[in-house]
Amino acid sequence: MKQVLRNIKNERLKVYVIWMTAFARDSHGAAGTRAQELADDRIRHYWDAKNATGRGWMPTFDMPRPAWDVYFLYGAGTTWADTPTYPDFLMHQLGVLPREQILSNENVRKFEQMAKELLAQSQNKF
Amino acid sequence: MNTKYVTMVLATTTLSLSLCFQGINAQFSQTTSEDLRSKWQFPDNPLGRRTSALLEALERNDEAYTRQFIHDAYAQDLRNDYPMSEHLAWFTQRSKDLERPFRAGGVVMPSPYHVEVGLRSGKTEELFTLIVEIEQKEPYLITGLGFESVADAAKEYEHVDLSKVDILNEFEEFKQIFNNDSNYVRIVTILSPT
Repeated sequence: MKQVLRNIKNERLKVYVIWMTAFARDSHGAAGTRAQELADDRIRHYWDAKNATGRGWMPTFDMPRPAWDVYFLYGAGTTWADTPTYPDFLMHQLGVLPREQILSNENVRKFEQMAKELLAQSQNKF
Repeated sequence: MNTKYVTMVLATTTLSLSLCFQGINAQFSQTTSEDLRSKWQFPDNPLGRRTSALLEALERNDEAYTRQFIHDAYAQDLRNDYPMSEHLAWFTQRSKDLERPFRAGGVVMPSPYHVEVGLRSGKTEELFTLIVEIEQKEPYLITGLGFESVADAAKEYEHVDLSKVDILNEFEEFKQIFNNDSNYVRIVTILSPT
């Protein structure tokens, strides 16, 4: 994420980092520590102790468990009615999502490229 | 923080867990892995069996038993990281922390190879977290261990500024935030802070 933000300076990009509980030591305090490490005015940090956000994506991907270790990219203009829509691009480290979208250097580059394209489209739109 | 964490490594031995408990030591021969798993109420899988055997060693606090357990259940690189005296000292210290008899509960199993178990001291009621990692293939030997006081872990974050981390309780809250920012290109990432 740091790399993407370092390479894209555009202020029309927003990042939501949702810290959730996967391990016993995950806590609001631990999230606060990580938030300090990942400081950028475009990032908003959230602590989701109940994993409510990850559960929100379960119907989108037909997943049996809450989504985590995931990176979703959405273009400007996208809104959700009930459940989140399928992202314009995604990366993950889960067994249940498409293997070709696994977190890798190549996919980080694609993610970054897609973010740039979506930003260019949004400049024309808004 | 009262933690010892050992990095993951792979071992080459082909001993299966059931074999681990046969032969060499009389105490081991009398207790099957199924008995232990049932006693500690862990799932019938490699991680459940390894964790049950580890808890049994902690509860027994018997040097011969522990020595055999380390020999049989630890991956070779983990065994080689420290002399046997230090491995044994780790168990002795943990047994002291837990002040037997202790209770196990509050299991978090984020993967089939990693478990975090809440352990409560029978005497002081202090809560600890035991972390166990095993190999991802047979013979599923233990590659990493962690142990810490929950109270100590909380103290670690006492002075952290939490004002920049908002609390989310419902997905609806986040949906509203997301929809309100619809003029932006947005990245959503969901991560564990640890």
